[in-house]
Amino acid sequence: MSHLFNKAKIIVCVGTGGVGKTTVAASLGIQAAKEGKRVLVLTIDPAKRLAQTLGLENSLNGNILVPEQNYRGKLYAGWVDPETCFNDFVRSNSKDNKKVAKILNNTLYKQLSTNLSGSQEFTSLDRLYREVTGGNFDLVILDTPPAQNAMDFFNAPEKIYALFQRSITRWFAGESKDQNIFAKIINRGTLTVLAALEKLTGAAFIGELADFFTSIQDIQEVISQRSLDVHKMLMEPTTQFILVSTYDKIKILEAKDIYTQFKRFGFNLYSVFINRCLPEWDEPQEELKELYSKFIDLHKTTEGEIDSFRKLLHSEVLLYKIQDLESDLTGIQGLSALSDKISVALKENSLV
Amino acid sequence: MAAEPKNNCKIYLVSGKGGVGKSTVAAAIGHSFASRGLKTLLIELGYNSYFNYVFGRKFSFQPYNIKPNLDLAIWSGEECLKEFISYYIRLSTVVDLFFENKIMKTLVKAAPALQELAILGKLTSGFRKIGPELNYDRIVVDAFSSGHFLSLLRVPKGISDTISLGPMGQQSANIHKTLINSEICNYVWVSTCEELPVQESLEFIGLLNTDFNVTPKLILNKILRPQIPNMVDRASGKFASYLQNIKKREDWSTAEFVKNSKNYVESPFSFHASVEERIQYLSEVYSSYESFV
Repeated sequence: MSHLFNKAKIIVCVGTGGVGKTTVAASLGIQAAKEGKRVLVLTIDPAKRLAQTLGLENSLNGNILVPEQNYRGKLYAGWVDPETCFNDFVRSNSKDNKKVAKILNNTLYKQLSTNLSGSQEFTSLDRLYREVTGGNFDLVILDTPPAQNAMDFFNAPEKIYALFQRSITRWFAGESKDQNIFAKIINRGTLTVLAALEKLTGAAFIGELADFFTSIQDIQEVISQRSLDVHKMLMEPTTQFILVSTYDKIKILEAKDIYTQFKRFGFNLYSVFINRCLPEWDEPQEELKELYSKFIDLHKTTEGEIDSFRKLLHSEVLLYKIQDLESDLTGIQGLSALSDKISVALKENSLV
Repeated sequence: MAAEPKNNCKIYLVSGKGGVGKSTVAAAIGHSFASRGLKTLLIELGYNSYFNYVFGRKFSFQPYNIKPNLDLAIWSGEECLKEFISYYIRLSTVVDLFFENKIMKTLVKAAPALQELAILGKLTSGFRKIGPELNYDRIVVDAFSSGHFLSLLRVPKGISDTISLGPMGQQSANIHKTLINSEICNYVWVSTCEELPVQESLEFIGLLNTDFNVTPKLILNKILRPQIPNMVDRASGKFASYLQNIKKREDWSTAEFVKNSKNYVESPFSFHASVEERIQYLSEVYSSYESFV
């Protein structure tokens, strides 16, 4: 059994856009299933072909047993669709059906539940929390949404929690109980601001805003409690992070920055995967030598960057170069081939 | 009242799947405009910049001149919104109140759709004769990738469809109109010749077409085919088979776009070690394409 799968109940894959996070998350899932784990891979916005491979094509919610598998364990996949998940969250946490309908129909709420505004981040962490506490899996692997800055992912839910603060709701909902003189003075300023905002946006918008904040009062407490629980869960030693980057100088520079931030926040980083590394070639025929030497020069720059990243890493965090697949294997065979390459890297780590 | 915008100003919005080289292509397009003497603004959306790594300096909301005729700025929704509010509420005491107010701070930071509207509002302000004008001949936006980009474009219509009354609704409707006006806004879609980006490109080009009646110009980036000697088909060894695979991928991808009646232009694979040199090289290639930009 790989050391990683023994240690972790949650694996979170982070990295910038287009480095192959989803592919790595799915391949890790396959490897864990091969080693006998009952594992769930949660993915956000997967590429269509990958969604097909995982059997998620027509499923916005729920967990699907990935087709074409014959492992010791079992591999499941789930698609975190922000809209569906946010709606579920509202439905399950509000007792009043009328209020639920009112929230779901509010214009601003509809904007909130798209993939803007940090709701992707909020919903995927919420889903992760529910799957982990549900206890149906030995391991849950989360593929995070692309962010230039990995910390955006962990900070984004705060944007959502901030919206659900009592003070802001009270303001729009017009509650005026237990106010002291000081609060009244603040309120006068707030009124001026509100008037300015109304001038900018119009009464119709302010109406929608007030509506939005009044209807979400019910789920405020749940949201802030969930925020604390999720944070605690992410800091536990059984939650391990994998930083994914790719064979490109700038992507590696970006990964270095993410690593530095990670250290500051104290997350448990297990290892760094450099995806799609090119193999060493034998010197080719005369006619191909010119192109060959261009590639070798380019790779030298990339390798230099990888070496300097390796030096920056804490001694316990290992950096692995995952070789690119020789041919365009797609589908479950492609993922399985990648998982073999990853397992080689993981076994090395168990020996360290 | 804002001054009449220059009639020849055009906006280019660049998107594509993550990792296809969208930012490099956007920068190269900006460079090629600038080298033709057009005053150009390159805008990167978001809080963290790819170009910080490329040019080795921190860029910000205020445009910074990186070469003759070419400025670079990074726009976050928050800063766009702040600028918009300050411009409209001219009374400085109220502006201060606005940004010191705790509730307003939260609202500006987190209220759904406001930041997205502010970004697109600032981008189109000159054409809508509202707000401070951007005084450029060409504006190139290195926008979000696929799904995120589409969500951004959908915001103005989403708001104006439901809140049609008042300044907010009207402005949203105007922003949407400007975005789908092909005399002003041009869309560029970047893809590489690999299965996942090709399929995602076909899907999103289709969505841009049905949802916005927009046909983006398709750029196939990192094309190596023309640089591979023909004899590779007969060659053996690991490097040769690597090249054969690339060729096969590129043949398949271009055939896929042809099959779906999508015109494309090719952007060559560049071996320059520095991205800055790569941008310069690509901009020269783009300038040589007649129909390109």
